[in-house]
Amino acid sequence: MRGLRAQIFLLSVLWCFVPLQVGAADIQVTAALEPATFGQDQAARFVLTVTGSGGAVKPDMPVVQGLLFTYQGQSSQTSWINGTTSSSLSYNFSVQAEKTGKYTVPPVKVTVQGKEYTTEPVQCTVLPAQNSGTQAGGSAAGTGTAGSGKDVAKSIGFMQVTPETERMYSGQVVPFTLKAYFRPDKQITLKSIPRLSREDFLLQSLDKEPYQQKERLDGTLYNSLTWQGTLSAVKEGSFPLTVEMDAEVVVHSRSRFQGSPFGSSFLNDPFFSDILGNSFRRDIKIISQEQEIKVLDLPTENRPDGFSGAIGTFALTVDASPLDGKVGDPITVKMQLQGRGNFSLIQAPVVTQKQGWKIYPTSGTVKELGKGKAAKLFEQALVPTEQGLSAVPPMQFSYFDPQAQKYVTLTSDPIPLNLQVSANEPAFQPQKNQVPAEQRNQQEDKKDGSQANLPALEPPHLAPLQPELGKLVPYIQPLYQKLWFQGMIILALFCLLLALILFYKQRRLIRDPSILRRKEVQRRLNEHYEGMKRAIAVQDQELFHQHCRTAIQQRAGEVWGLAPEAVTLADVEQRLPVAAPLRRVFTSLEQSGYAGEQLTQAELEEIFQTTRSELDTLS
Amino acid sequence: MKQNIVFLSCLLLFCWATTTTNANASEQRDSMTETLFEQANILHTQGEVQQAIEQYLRIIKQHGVSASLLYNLANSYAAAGEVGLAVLNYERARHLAPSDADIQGNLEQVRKDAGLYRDDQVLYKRLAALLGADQWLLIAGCAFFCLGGSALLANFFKGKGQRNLHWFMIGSSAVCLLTLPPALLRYQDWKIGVVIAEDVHLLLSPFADSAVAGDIKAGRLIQPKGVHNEYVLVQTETGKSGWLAKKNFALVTDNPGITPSF
Repeated sequence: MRGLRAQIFLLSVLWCFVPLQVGAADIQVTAALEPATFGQDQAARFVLTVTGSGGAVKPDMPVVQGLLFTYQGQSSQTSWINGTTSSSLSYNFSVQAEKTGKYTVPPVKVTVQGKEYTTEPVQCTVLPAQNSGTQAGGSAAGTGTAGSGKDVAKSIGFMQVTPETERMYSGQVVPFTLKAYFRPDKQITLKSIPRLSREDFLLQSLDKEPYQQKERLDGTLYNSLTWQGTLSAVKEGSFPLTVEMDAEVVVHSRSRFQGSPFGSSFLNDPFFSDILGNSFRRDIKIISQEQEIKVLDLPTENRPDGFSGAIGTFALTVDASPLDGKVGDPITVKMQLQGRGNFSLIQAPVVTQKQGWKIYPTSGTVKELGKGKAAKLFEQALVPTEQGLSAVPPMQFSYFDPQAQKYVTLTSDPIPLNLQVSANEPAFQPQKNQVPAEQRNQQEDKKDGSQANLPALEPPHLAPLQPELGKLVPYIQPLYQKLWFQGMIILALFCLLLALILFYKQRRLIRDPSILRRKEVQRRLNEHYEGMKRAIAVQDQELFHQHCRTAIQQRAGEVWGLAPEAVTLADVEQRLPVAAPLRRVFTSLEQSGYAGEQLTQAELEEIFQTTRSELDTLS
Repeated sequence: MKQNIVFLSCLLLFCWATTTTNANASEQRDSMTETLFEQANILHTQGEVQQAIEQYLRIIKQHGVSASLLYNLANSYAAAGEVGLAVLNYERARHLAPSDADIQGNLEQVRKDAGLYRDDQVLYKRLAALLGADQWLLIAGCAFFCLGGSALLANFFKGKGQRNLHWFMIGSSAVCLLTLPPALLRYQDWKIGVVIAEDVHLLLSPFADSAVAGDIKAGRLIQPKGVHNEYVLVQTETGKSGWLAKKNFALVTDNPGITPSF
């Protein structure tokens, strides 16, 4: 039994040492990048393995310029081989490169069981994207190079810009077609609308939504996007035309399941890659091939005076209404320019004859007609100011025809006008307003002063006379000159001033309540002084004593910060010097009060004067 | 005592008599003015516009002006073809009755008929034109009066009453501040003049034999800028400047009863 116990003890001790053995096994930290050489459009797998320990703090990856590490998760493995336990923990990162070249991942610090371990540096090589284009599902266009190589074109897509002409004039608006081709097996998301890469040209217009279709080019099927737009050049010279666009492509990483013993065929499928997080999005820029455009200046020879920069081919139609009005009635002239050209810049046709017309500014609206055509409608108000005008004058519009390479001036026909004689025409000619005899007779019949008959002569477009005289004033006077208004403003100002004074006074009293107290004491002192005077007059000594004592108490109480009733002879003797007249007065008042001493009127008067002067100066 | 009573009674009697006499005289004068006004209206209705104008002017000289009087006078001038004087008197009438639609309508019509078009005003000027200068100023003045009154009362109230008065003061201040700028803007119109003579030339310098800077129609509004002898430097509605003889235009604020002068 004892032997059994000893065996159990021994086994227990040995068992206790097993974890110690495992824990004390060598801890190793390694880093590996798989594959060490990968394309710019691919992702590699960086694995950080901690062997010999079941736990470690997740390491922070160092910053490597040009490489992007994305944490993918961790995996652990424990094995028991020939009675030996071994465990390892792996931290997985996906690595993407921004540029081609050779990179070195510096040592990574890993903390295991409170101790810091460091990996060896790892080197890798990143190849250009087109060199890896043969990899299925791994093609992505790199910034700045996309679209220029045929390999990329085959792997992702490309863009083409086709202007209507390769020779244009500065200011001319040229239509162009922009096509972007993408491989159907690529997941592409457009992140911007196409834009011109350089500032030699201005993009005038572009379809908001491209036309989408499938197209086969050189035997390869593409999804194509087509935009129609217009552009213009700003200066003379030869300039390359390129268009660029931002997009996002989904890149599938293959390396994660490369070593899977179960094979990688289905796990490398993009569907599963997306689900398993084995893919990432990457921003790319698609740039079209350069197209050389020659820009010419407009010829100065034979340039019409009225030319305002219109380039294209235009047709002019003019319409006006109403045509049977009077002098002063506005006529709306509608002018439409239709065709192809720089409609946003063109100005309205000009009136060829301005004499006798009041001409107002034009307003224009552009309407797109499709296929590069547009129409611009101008509206202009013309007012005939003279009698005898027979037609709306012709309108003139000059433009440069780039196809014919010459200036063209369009002139509309005059529009016949039936200008009626104004009904009030005689009214504006002095001495021509004599009323016809028949009308005069009719009016004389009505010559009874009745106000109802007043409007008889008024021209139809003028309001009639006013029958009531209304209130007469000596002259036209603005309100601010009227006395009552000035009085009102002065009163308001006085009120404001008074309010301001009261406000500051109240605020001062709130801040310093002693002011009120001082005033109250002064009021009471005055009452007592009056009382003393009255007492002297009637020879009432007792009353005099009472007022005098109370007055001294009030004032002394205020100055010394005591309640007036609490001021006694002791306080007076304590605070005033022996020779102080007020002390003498107060003492004599006390003594005469007890002793019943009678004072003469002169003495009382003297006491009063002394008390008053002393109290006024007491501080 | 008796003497005092007698004296006071005499004084009261004198005051009553004076007041009554004045009132009667005023009534008689008003009645006479009304009669003259009606006669002028009848003359106008009969087509005797020149006589009607003379009659209206006589009333103005003797008794003063009213919006209706100036309006009717302007109508007579319009009927007589005196566009400048018509516009001048419509403008004057507009100062007395800024909201009168007849005055505004006839002024616009006469200007339109004479080809005196004005460019569209900017929004703030259109907003200011909703009321006359006096009306804007009256609102501002009343608001200011309310501000003064409420500020004074606020010193005598406490609690909720004082708070309400403070809100009233804020509102009054806001109204005052909002209505004062349009009032000032509208008073700029009181400084304008109207060209009253036909076929007037703007001169380059203030001399009779000066070169002509351009023509200006009767009825055009002008802004006087300076004076030199018998000529006034003016700026037209279109921004053109030049010298104009004093006799060729009249200020809107001139006393209508006096011969137009600068």
